[in-house]
Amino acid sequence: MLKKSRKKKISILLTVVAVSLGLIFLTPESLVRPFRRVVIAVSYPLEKIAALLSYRVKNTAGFLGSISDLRNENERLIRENNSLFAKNATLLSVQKENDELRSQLGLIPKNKYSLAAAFVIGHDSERSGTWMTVDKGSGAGVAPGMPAIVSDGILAGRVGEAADTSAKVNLLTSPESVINVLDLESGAKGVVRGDFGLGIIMDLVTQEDVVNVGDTLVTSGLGSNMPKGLLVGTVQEVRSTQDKLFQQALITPRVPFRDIDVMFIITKTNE
Amino acid sequence: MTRNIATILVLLLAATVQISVFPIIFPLFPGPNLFLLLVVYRAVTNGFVGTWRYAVLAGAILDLLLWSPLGTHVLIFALVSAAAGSLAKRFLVVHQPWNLLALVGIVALASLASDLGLWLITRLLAAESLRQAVFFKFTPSSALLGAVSTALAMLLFYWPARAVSRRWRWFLRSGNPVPKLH
Repeated sequence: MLKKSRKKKISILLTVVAVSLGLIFLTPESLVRPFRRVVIAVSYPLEKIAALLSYRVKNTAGFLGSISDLRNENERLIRENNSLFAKNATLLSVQKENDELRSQLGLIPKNKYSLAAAFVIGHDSERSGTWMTVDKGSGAGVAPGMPAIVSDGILAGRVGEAADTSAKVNLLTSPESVINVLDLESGAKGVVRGDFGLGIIMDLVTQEDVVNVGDTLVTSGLGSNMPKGLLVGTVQEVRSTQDKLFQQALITPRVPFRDIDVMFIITKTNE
Repeated sequence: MTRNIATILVLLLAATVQISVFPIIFPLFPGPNLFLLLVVYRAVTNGFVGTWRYAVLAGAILDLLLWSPLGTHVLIFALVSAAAGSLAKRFLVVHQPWNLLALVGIVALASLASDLGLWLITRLLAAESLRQAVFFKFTPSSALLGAVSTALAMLLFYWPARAVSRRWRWFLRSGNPVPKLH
């Protein structure tokens, strides 16, 4: 009896293992996609409600924790406000100069994108830190390859896959994100890619090009769907590759990806 | 039928919490793996034969929601439930005072084994194609923290689950009595 039960257990386990391995290694993503879409569509309302409630809880907890600091913060803001009034006058002239520089560099003005605002409703629970789920999908015109930005033109990643109601955004820290960039200060060109959630690396920079610590990187516009001039990050460290053919740089992103709750997907460049 | 729908709903709720709640509220800390916890709990109470369908369903839902290759979590959960069922048979005996420790240990081991398994599959896939190779990143510290948080969640989950499974035994059709912990 015991032997029979053990036999049954082993046969079930072997069958499940064999089927799983077949699914993992032999099933193309195109076959899985319809099932994925159904499950994502069913879980979408739950995820959205849960994410919004979680943001509210997080913000309330953050607010309660910061009440004691509000008085000091208020005084600091008053001083800062006075100082900013003075700076504003200077910036008006800088803006004009900036517009001229942007046109010289061929960068697209920031108001020339068609954006789809999207809430982050899901995170990578396997802790690779390489993707997020947003609440806009192909129904809102979102498609794979479209850039995802935060705040004022800072690149966060690009859409990896899109279901009807939601989409997976591969962050810059994902090895799947490979983006052509340009060093604004020196003009050096290269490719940035993620390092499995641990950071961002600028690669394939020739030895003749100059990349300095603190330089600002923007997208060069090469490659499909990626407009020029989106801010990628700042150079933190420069080193040579092992074969000494190229230079590599570690890049510090301008925003901590963990804290992103809203993204904008560039669905169209109005140029 | 009702039981199957209820099972799917429970799994979807667990997925929602795992994907949309824990990472937002605790962004710096690896949250507990609720799916693993549910599968291990079920394996401990029902044995592998009473769990494998549940493990397959849970794995498939998680694979589809996490955009990972279908079959990855199915394989992991099947192996983990088989191991957890066997360990529970050996170490969890009704009314043993160290059952709690054994149960928490099984959950922590299952979490570590799950991370190692995912890492191994990731490496195997990396040899085949880069596209599918990036869904999991293994670091010892995050694996340990994940194991600790999942084990802690098991402590919080155990007694409510035990009460529910006792009251709704007719509905859940639990094969074995839930081990009593002291």
